[in-house]
Formats: sequence, C-alpha cells, structure tokens
Amino acid sequence: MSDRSAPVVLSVDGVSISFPGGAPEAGRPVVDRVSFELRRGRVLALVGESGSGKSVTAMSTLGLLPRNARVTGSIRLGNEELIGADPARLREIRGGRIGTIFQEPMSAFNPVLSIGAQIGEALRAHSKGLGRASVHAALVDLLASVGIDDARRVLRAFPHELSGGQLQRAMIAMAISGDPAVLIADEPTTALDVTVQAGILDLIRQLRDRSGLAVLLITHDMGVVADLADDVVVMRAGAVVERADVGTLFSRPTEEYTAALLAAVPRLDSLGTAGPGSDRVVIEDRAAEPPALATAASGHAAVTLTNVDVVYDRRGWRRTGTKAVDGVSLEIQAGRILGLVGESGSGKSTVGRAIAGLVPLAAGSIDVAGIDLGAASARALRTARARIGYVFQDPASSLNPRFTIEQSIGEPLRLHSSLDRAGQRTRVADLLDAVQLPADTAGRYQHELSGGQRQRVAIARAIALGPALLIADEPTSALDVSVQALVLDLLRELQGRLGFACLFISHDLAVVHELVDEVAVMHRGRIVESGAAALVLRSPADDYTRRLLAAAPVADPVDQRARREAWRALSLAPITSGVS
Amino acid sequence: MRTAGFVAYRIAGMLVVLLAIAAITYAIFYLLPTNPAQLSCGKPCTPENLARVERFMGYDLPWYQQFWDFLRGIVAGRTYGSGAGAVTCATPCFGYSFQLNTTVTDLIVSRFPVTASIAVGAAAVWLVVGVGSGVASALTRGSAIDRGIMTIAIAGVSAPSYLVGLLAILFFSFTLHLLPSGGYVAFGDDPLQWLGHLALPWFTLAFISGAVYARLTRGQMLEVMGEDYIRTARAKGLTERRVVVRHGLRNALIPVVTIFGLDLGGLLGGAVITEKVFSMQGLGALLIDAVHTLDLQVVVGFTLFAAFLIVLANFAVDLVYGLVDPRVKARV
Repeated sequence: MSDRSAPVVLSVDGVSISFPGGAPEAGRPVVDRVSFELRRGRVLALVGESGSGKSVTAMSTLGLLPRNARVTGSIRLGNEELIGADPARLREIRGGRIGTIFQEPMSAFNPVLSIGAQIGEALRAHSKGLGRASVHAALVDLLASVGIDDARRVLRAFPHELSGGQLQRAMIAMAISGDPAVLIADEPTTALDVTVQAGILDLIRQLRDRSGLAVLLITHDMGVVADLADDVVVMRAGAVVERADVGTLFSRPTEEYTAALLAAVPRLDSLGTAGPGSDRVVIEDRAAEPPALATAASGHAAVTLTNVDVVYDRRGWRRTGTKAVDGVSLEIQAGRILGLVGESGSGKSTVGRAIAGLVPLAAGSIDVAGIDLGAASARALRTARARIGYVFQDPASSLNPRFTIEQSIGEPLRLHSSLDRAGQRTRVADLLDAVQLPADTAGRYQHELSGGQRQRVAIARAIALGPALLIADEPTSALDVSVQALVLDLLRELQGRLGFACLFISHDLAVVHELVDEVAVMHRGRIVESGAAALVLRSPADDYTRRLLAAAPVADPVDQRARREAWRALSLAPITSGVS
Repeated sequence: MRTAGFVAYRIAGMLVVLLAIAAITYAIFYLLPTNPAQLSCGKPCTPENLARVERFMGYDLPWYQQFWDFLRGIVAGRTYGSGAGAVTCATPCFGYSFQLNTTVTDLIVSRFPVTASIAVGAAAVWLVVGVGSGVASALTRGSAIDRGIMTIAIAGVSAPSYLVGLLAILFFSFTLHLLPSGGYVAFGDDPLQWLGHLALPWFTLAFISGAVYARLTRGQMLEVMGEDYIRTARAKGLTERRVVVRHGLRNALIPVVTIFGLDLGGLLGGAVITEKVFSMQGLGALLIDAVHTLDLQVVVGFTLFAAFLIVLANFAVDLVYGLVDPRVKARV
C-alpha cells in the first residue's frame, strides 16, 4: 500500500451525467458533480446503494455510457482529458491504460468463445502484430499471474466449463493484459461465494502492491470495502456524501447517512478462536452430542427431516443423477428460526424446496406439522402445503406482474380458506398492516413498488394462512443493506408474534447471525455442522465452517485484517469436513 | 467417443421417426376408399381383370404384408408381377407409378435437381439478405433505415407466395421483359439460362422467408447487444465492427441456424406453390399432380422422401449447433 501522496493517475472532477429524453424525470442528472482522484497503488472504493450512480460514474471514465448520455465536467487520465476524446483514442485506453472487471463473470464472458480466444483478442487489440506463439506464451503467463495453475486447460475452456472463481480470475487476467495503470472493479465479487470472494480480493490486493495499480472499486458491500479499500467515497442519489480514508470512515463517519449505512450492516462476532489448537476442546465437547439438532427445551417439532436425499436427474440420452442433498436430518421447533447456510450449490435451497414438496425425495422422510410428505395423499399434501409459507429471493419475479397486490396476497386465501370475498379483503388489509405497508398498496401492481416493499408483500402472502413453517430462501439478498435491515426486523417481529417456525436459507453469515436461533451449515449436500447459532458461529468445530466464517468480510477494517490472516492460514490447509 | 455415441443415437432415432412416418402415410393410403388397381385396370374393368391387376401390384396381400414389401423394397428392391410382363424396381424402391410407368425413385431423381436449385439458391439469397438487413436494422434501431426495413419485412411476412410470384412475373417478365416467366433449364445445358429461369423463384421465396429472418435477426441482435459480454468486449478496446460481428452476430445467429436448417429441409421436399406459379417441374409440382390423379404410390414415396429431408436437416442442425454453441455439447 502506498501513501496518501502517491501520484494521481485518474482524476474525476465535477462530473455530471444525465440522460435527456425518454423518462419523465429526464434531464435530471443521475450523477451530480462527482469528484475524486485515483492514486497509484491505492484502492478507492465508490460505495452506495442501488441507484446511487456509482456504476454510471465508473462507466463514464471508459466512455461506455449509452449514446444518449450527456456527460459534463472533466475526467483526466494523467494529463489527458477523456470526456469528448476521439473514439479511437478511447478504444486504445479501454483495455490498455484502463482495465475493467465486471460483476457477473459468467455473463461477462462471451459464451461461445474460448477463454483463450477472448483474452487473446484483448492482447492483440493493444499490441498489434503479435505472433500466435507469443500470444499463447503471454496468455499462459497472464493466467499464472492471477493464480490459475492449469493455464493450458483454462485457455481452451469455454465459460460454462469453469467455476465463477476461475472465470473472475480469467477476467482479471484479461483486464491486466494491457498492463493498465487503472483497474476498475465493478462489484467484482458480488456474484461469488465468500470463500471465492476472499481469494479474488486477495488477488486484487496483490496486483495493487505488485504493479502499483490504481484501483477503482465499486461495491455496495461494506465488508469488501473494509477488506480492500484505502480510500472511500460514499455516494447517494448521484452525489458524493462523504469521502475519507478507510480507517476514519469506519471509526468516525461524519455524515449521518454514512453512519446509518454502517449501522445497517449485519455484524458477525469476531472469531472467538485464536488458532486451531483451541478448537480441539470444542470438537470433543460436541462429539458427545447427537448429530441432529439438539431438541430445544420444550416445543414440538414443526418440521422433521430424516436422512433426506434429493437427486436431480440429468436429462439426455445418458442419464446420470446428481445428489443435491445427501442424508440430511434436521428439526425445527415451533417458534424457532433455523438458519441454513452454505455456498452456492451446497443444496440449501433444495432442502427448502423438498420441505415444500416441490422436489421429490430419493430417500428419507419429511414430516411437516404431523404430515409425512412421502406417504401423504394428494389431499393431505395440499393441506400440508397450506401450512407452509415461502418467501423467495427476488420479489420482482415471485409476484405475478399482472396481479394487483391484493390478488397476490389473497390467492392463498382463495385456494385454501373458507373466507368469502369481503372476509378475504379484510384479511389482506390486516396482512398489509402486519407487514407495515399502507392500506392503499392493495390496489397497486408490483412494478409500482420498491424492492423492499415487494418483499414485504411476499412475506404477507407467505403468512396469509397462518403457516406452521415459513421458508425464507435468501429473502434479503436482492435488497440494499438499509432495506435488508428493515425486512429482517419485520421477520423477527412477525415470528415473535405469530410463533411460526422458520427455515431461513442464506449465504450471508452475518444476516444469519443476527436473526436465527439455531444454525446448520451445508457443504456439498451434507450438513457438516449444526447447533445453537451463537456457538456455531463463534467457535465452529468443523473445518469448513471455520473457513466459511473466516472468509466472510466484516465491515470493520481492523477486525477484517485479523480475519484475513485467519483465512489465509486456513486456506493453506486442505478441507477435511464431511469426510469424518 | 461421446460425439460418435451421440451420432449413433441420433441416427437410430431418425430411423424410428422415418419408420413411423412410413407407417402413417401407408395407413392413410389404406384408409382412402380408392382402389389403385381400379385406376390401372382399364376398360372394361371386369372382376377378373381387376383381380389380375391387384395381384400384379401386390394389392391382394394383407396390409402388413404390403407394408413389409414396401419397406423391403427400399433396402432390397422389388419386382411387380412375374414373367415377361414383370416390372422391376431397383434399390432403393419407394414404389412404382403405374400411371406414369416409372419407379418413384426415378421420378424423385429426375425432379429433385429442379427443386434443389430453387431451394438452395433461394435459401442462400434470403439468408444473406435477411440476416444482413436484420443486423442493419438492429444497429440503427429507431432510425429511418430501421423503419424502412421493418416495413418491407412486414410486407414480406404477410404476402402469400403466389401473389409475390405473380407480381414478379408481371413486372420483370411482362413489363420489363428482363426474365422468363417460367420453365426450367438444367445447369448442365446452359448455366446462364438456368440462372435466368431461377432468378424470379429465388426472389419470390427470398422475399417471404428473408422477411422472417430479418425480423428474427433484428430481435436477436437487439437482445445480444445488450448482454454483459458486449460491454466486456467494448471495455477491452475492440473496434465496434469486431464487437458487432464476433461477439454480437455470432451469438445472435444461433437460433437463426435452427430455423434455417428446418426451412431448407422443408423446401427441398418441394416448393409446391412456387413451382406451380413458375411452371417448373419439381417435386412439389409432381406431388400435386399425383394427388390429383390419386397416384398413391408416388404420394407415399414423396412424403417419405420429404420427411427424410426434414429429419436429415434436423440432424444437421444439431451437429452444427454443437459447433456454433459450445454449451450444447454439455447438454447432450
């Protein structure tokens, strides 16, 4: 990390961006007089919630805004003005002096071209006349420099054949292929699992230190900011709210908005374990306990899963099954919240779907409110389903766009209750009140609501029939942190009042930590660890859990440094969880 | 290894489909209340004569025996009747037209070049024109060029081929005297005449299908140009031309390939209306005649041949798909 007086590489000065024509609020600038400076060897984080204008600002430095965008102000790369620059010159700069990494590596690569072809294309665009052999040699070197060992295989591979982490590394290799001075990283780890994210952040940090890159990091994740940034610019509604170095911003934010933003971020306790040695005791302690969740004091089980297997058939002429869930047993007591955590592909969502009867079981049994789903008749199954509420990740796609909110919330009532029309209407009004939405929401459509409001509607629908169990599958992942905090509050309040059991599925350990009573950690279809949330998340017994916890960045630069060290130590050791 | 297995699997599937089609067409053939023997029996058609003709054609046998003879004829050839009056139908035998006194195979062989000339030429024209104008339209979205192309495309999509064909004849042949109004000259006889006679049928078919392709390509291009990887391509400093062709068009054409294969396969089985309008003796024209004269052997043979072409086109599309879209192999 270089000091604060390192030379300025890119300066953005009083930049405003507007999109004339079209929308009703046309002409209003989406970015309003934004200024900041990128310095050699430093990471500047541009932070803000959705719609704050951070991505638009970043794209303006590349001249990659839609044709109708009006950009004023000054963007200087070294001594060169970029606003209004010649298109050919801008092309030279893109991929040359300025490299870019995007959010979703799977869609940022062209699906029909090999990785080698795509990176090679970037190389050739900026150094003409390279021979085939020298391009190949350069590609192998590039991939090695971003931590890809089997470069030759990766170069031949197509995007769908690689993991998200490998793709993002390849994307970084492509971004640095032109030996840039500036690296723009637009939400570079948002689509990745935490353990993968930690590696990518580490790589960006290395590049900064090794080649003195100036990095513009665009993110909404305060944990990522704490982990990687040197300086922070907070944006809101197109304008800069606050700028500070990372230590100052997190310890003494001066603006109310920044403080509120930081307060809304769910917290993880600092890791209670100093090193692997101190865990031994815990592991032996737990060995005495039964593998399934210890039955909490009184309450009866709302849901019981016993040795559940779910196998997905692969369609095609050679059928091979994939075991998505492998021998899972768990139990949720009435009135308790169980957090099911794991990375993508761990099978956590499949468990939720299996409980709702949406996927068939290959083995084992599921008992919901006293009904064995496997043995139940079609009628009993319908009754069981009426006892389950389901909240999905993306409320925009889980609410029918042609239904009014009243129709959406009222649908389960129409199907399963004996209420007449007036009764349904009253019930919908009560439900809207319960999720703290104004009564006039009933007549509106989902596109008229914000993301947070939509998710409240989805929750109202899920609790319409007074469920015994609420399954919430990543209910806040698509929401901004400030909205997320409100939705979590609402869930907690409703659960306390209505007393349903809740299966809370999430990849976000901090969110889980804030909300749940018990937690179960899934890895490759199995539950590797489960128990009281406070215990599991503070002193994990399992290797994988420990790694997952260490990889989750926290919104505190000092604490995060300690976690990073812990993660580095752990990631050198092979994973042994699930083996025992 | 996997590819070989896939090909074998698909070929087996194709055979099953063709067998089913043969069975269905043969069933229709039998459900019709017409006795083909009656048509060839001559006048006066005494019961003895009819029985003789039926025996000669093999219609006296039970239906499964006849179907079996038909299938066996395809792989081993067959002989109708016996002795001096016997008619041999060489492998592959798709039946024998007793009205035209020739094998269905010979009919297909003699007529197919006409249809193939029309179909392949027209397909090439509409692919180039349709895709080209679709891309132009997408890249100039909302402009006069876009609106102009899409207006013409609407006309093409909604106009029936006989109308376009007749208008083309009226304008290019009768008014301008540029091109012949119909007929066919083999390529081997006179390449220039061949081209002259085919120009109008090509234009007619290309106008109609090209319109569909222009609309499809435009829609695909607009969608693809909004994808993340297009932004990536621009962010690495590629020229706009390269972004459009290599990253945009390459992906936009994937669904076009599917439709193109099936369209071409279908057209090769006979461009019925176009052949009639331009008085060209291709498969389609012959098929219409056969239906009129109840020459059922020809109908069955042609149907099977057309089905074979479509099944083959489907297979070719799947193979090409694997080449243009690497994700497909993973799903096999």
